[in-house]
Order: sequence, then C-alpha cells, then structure tokens
Amino acid sequence: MKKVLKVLSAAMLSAVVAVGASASVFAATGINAAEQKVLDELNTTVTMNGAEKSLPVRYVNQAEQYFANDCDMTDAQATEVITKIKAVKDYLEGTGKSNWNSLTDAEVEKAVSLAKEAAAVVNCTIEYNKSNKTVSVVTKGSTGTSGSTTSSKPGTSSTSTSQTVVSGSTTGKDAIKTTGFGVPGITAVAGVGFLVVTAAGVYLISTSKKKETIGA
Amino acid sequence: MHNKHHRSSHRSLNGKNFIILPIAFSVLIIGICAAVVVPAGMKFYDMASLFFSDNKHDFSEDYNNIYVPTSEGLEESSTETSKAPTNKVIPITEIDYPHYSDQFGELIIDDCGIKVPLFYGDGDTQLNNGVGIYTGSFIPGYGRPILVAGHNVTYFNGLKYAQKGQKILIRTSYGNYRYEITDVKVRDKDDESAYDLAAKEETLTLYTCYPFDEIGLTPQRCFVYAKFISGPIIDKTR
Repeated sequence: MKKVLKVLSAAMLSAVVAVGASASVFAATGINAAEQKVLDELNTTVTMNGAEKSLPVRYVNQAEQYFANDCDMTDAQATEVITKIKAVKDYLEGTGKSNWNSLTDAEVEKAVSLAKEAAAVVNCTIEYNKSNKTVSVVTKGSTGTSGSTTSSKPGTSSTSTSQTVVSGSTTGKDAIKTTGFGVPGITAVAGVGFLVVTAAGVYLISTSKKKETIGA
Repeated sequence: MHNKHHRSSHRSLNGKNFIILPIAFSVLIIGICAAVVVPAGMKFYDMASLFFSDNKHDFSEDYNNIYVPTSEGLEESSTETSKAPTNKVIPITEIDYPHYSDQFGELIIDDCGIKVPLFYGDGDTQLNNGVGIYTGSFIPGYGRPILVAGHNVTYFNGLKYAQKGQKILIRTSYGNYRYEITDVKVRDKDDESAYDLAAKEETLTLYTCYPFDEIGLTPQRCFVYAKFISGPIIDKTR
C-alpha cells in the first residue's frame, strides 16, 4: 500500500511539475511597469552633434514584443537597463558625430560594448560584424527554446541602442522583404535546363562521332 | 607526336563541347524562359501547384505549429458589415503568444481565393510555407499595426483580385479577427511611407512583389491596406 502511495504521489508531483513547466513555456508575460519604463526610454531621442536621432520604431516594437512574450523584468533590472541605455546615449553624444554611420570603428565598438551590457541584463547578446556593419542580437527567452537572431545595419537615424533588445528575425533589417519568385525555384529551373542541354550536347557529340567513324 | 597533339586538341574540344556550350545554351534557354515562357506559363504553374503544393507536405520539422482553430466569433458572415461587433478583452497571459517562426493562424480572403497559413516572422521558411508577420509589427488583437508578407506567385498571388470593401479574416487560436480592405496601392519597396509601424491603432497591411506572376526580384510591392472590424482585444498590461 505504501508503495502504491509513493508511486501515486510521485506521479502526481511529476504531473504538477510538467503542468507548471508547460505553463511557463507557453504563457506570455505581458508588459509590466518596469518594462514600460524601458520602452519609454527607448522612445526618447539622442542628440548627436545637435541633431535629434530616434530609434527606428521597428526596434522598439520588437523590444515590446520580446518584453510581452519572453521577459519578466524586475524594477531593479529596468533601472540597470535604463542606466546602460543612457550610458550609450551619453557616449554617442560625446563623440560629436552627427549619425551612426559617421562613427569610427573604435567608436562603434565602444558603443556596441555598452549596448551589450544593457542587453545582457535581459538575456540578450549582441555581436557586431565590422565588415558589413551589421549587428546580430540573440535573445534567450524564458521558454528555454533556442534563441532567435536578427541582423540589422544601423541607419543614419538610429542609435546603438536600437539593437539592444529584439525578438527574432533572421531576415535582415528591412521591414519589406523580397516576395518574388524564390531563388530555389530559379535554381531548380536552371538545374533542369542545364541537365537537358548537357544531355542534348552529349547526344549531338556522340552522334557526330559516329558519323566521323563511319566517314573514316 | 602527331597523335599526342591530336589527343590534346581533341580533349580541349571536348572540354569546350561538354562545359562551355552547355552553359551557354543553359543561359540562353533560361533567358528565353524568363522573358517569354514564365509569365504565360505561371497559370499552369499555379494550377500544377494545386497538386504539388507545399501545403500537402509535412514541414513540421521546419517550424512549430501552435494554431488550434477556434470557432468563437465566427458566427458573423465574412461578408456582413452592418452588425456592430462586440470585442471582448483577453489578458495577454491567457494567450499562446507566438514565437519566431511559429504558425499561429491562417489568413483568409474569400474574394481573392486566399486561405493560407499565417506565421510569426517573415523569413524564408515562413514565406515558403505561408505568409508571415514582420516581427517589427504586431499580432492581431494587440491594437497596433500588422505587416504581413507573402510570395506573389504562391500564397499571395490572389492579392491581384484585392479590392476596396472586401473582407479579410484572420483566424488564430485565441480568436478570429475581421478586417476590411480600404485601399490597394503599388509602391516602391524602399518607400517607408507605404506603411506606418508607429501607428497606435490596429491596421492590417498585406504586401507582395509586383507585378504578380513576375519571376525574379522586383522593385515594387503591391500593398493592401485594411482596417480593423472585430476580434478580441489583447490586454497587454499586468
């Protein structure tokens, strides 16, 4: 009897754990007051050489959805993130440059490293690709699923904070995508065409060889 | 010596015959296909895709499907406009919020013959299997702009029939949403005024490459704009 009770209680406990785990996997968290403060901060402008620069709205939207879905920020975390975002802004203002594209590589690296610190607070990592000037952000959601990545090339109106928090896209910075006939389709057509023509070439050559042999 | 010379020249001739000529012919034939055959043949391609459609394949390893259709809110006819809809409010914590690459619904435009899987995210996997919401916009019910991409020769080919006044239905696991087309415009792909991601109201913008049925990369997009009619409102605060 005791054994049966043990098995039953173990089964019930694992069921409770499983249900609890699944709830934390699928439930969205919503936007709390701390996250709203961070969003408000992201919506403020930075003054670069007298010019007001704002974060492209698509990044703020992505941040909002990340907060709504995968992040449950505390007040302390929000304060830390806001402090770090302000540090990025102060640094950008201090460079004396009028936009992101006019920054030197060293300045970009410094700004990105500051942004990385802000991102780390909410479980994001940032990588900057010097060659194509793209920023990759990896988010690690509370769901425990594999992180999603996004790349974005900073535009003239963006600040480095624009890439601190995003929620998954692997298709570059542009909102409008290429929605024409897909490359795989073209590749398939080209492949079939190449095979047909090659076969025809082989046939023609073998035929002409036969003719040459008969002629000789 | 003469034989050696003859063999080497024969080899180079073979190289020419087997490599250069086929490539040249391939380029020529593909060029002709692109210019002449493809635009006319796309009707047949579309017809054939009914039999060889991606929908029939199991791509479950490529993406996660969280869509469980609900019939709530479907009572109204998709063509009915006179009834004032009632929009219930649902807490965000109660919905299965999609992650990148999840299929979380379907998009239906009866008048255009469109009924396609709806994804969160607009990368290659999503657009090869349906239409996708840009992650810089929002999901239905959030009360903010929704920007949806789809390929012009497959899932959004029917947008060529889109007209003002037609109804759009988006079905998700957490509710069914109705929109009404307010405008259809062809704009440059780089024209950022074609959409407003900062809008504080729920708007639906669908787009695909233009011209329809054209192969390759096109610089223009056909945008279909729609206004929110009804559906559950997501309460995002806690």
